[in-house]
Amino acid sequence: TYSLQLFYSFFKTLVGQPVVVELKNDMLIQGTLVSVDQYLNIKLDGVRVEDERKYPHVASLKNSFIRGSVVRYVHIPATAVDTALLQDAARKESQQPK
Amino acid sequence: MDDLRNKKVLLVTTDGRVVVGILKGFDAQTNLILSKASERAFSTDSFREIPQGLHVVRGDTIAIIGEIDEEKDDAIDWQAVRADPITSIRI
Repeated sequence: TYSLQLFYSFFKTLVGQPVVVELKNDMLIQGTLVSVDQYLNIKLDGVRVEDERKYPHVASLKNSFIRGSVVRYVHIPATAVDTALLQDAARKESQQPK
Repeated sequence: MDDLRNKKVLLVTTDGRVVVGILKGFDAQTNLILSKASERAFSTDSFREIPQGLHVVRGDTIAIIGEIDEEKDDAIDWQAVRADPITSIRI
């Protein structure tokens, strides 16, 4: 079940899953989700940049902490999420009187 | 980021720079203190490693920070690497 701080809680359910984080500078970083915090900063283990030829700059990175503010998308396996449940929770949260 | 304390880290900044150094300190805003910092400046015709010494980095300029695999890093001949600089973060 999802509650307040909806996406923080949602990402916590994905710990251990392989994800691809797309940054606002167009880099795509693959890795296993280790943790997420309230700012949606993301920690990944076993990182690999998708276009290794274009990005030799980060070839020696083992793991990465990605600042939430620079994330454009987090690509996740379709099987990792109950979309209906998430949609429902998001709808409920958006209807909360503020 | 606790596990990165005193480790050799690599940083990608929002303006596309790559900096390596030893992470000495940080806070909740990801402001950092790096010692023995050096910038790795990549271009299609050259590579330069620019020593920077002790560096304080403001958190909102950080995109990625991670631990360097030193074996892997040492095995790469960085002087021979040619690549376009990483693009800046665009909102």
